[in-house]
Amino acid sequence: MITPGTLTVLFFLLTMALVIVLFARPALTDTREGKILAFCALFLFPLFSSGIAFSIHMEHSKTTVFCLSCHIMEPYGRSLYVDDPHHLAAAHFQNHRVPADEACYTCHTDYALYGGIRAKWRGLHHVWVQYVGKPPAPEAIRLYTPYNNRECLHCHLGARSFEESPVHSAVREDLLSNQTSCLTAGCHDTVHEVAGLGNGKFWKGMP
Amino acid sequence: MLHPVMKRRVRISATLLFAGLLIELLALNGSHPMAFLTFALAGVPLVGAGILVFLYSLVSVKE
Repeated sequence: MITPGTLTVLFFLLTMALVIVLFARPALTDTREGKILAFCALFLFPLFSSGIAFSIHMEHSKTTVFCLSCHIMEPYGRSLYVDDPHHLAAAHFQNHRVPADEACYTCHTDYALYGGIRAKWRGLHHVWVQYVGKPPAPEAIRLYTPYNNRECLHCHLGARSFEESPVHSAVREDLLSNQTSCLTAGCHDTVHEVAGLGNGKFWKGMP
Repeated sequence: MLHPVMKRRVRISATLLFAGLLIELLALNGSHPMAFLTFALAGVPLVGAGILVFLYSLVSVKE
């Protein structure tokens, strides 16, 4: 079966083949048909190919593998495999409460208009810091802004486990207005905890 | 008969486009920020330059 990835590669190869033909025989553009061919091979197809490639890169950038491919993120990847249900990130990842292959993006993008664009822009900033700036130690990494409850409530609001919890009911309005964070001390405050991973126990599913 | 300047520009355009497309194609295999950077900083500018040279060749050379 031909996958979209195969089709993309085939389209690239077709475009490149046409480009080679025009390089070898530029006189082809003398004729009307040749001009159409040149317009397709030297303008339309490359534009389309680059557009597809950009879209694929955008999709790649959402994957857990992509986020964890930077060395600095390695402890955060390990934290997803901590064998402790009280570790928020690990529990979500291991129980597939978030898609395992897009775990980072699912929780660390804003569920708002332009959230994805903002996340990508920050991602570019991270790349800049990684290669040009001075990357901080993994445990020194902090969020730009306090974690917005909206990112949790996007899934949990309306869920039985959330709605029927007396603790949640008591502070429901505060949670909705972000006056009380879901990550408040004493609530869901154990998230990645990368500084203390050395002594931890890990789930056997860890690669 | 194709104008020699036009001929040269088509060849320059084709060279730039081939290089750009090749880089973009190779960068597609990677799921790493470097792959995206290669795509954005090398592939896209080359493809863009190739397209611009081709479009310029259309408007700059008179029959």
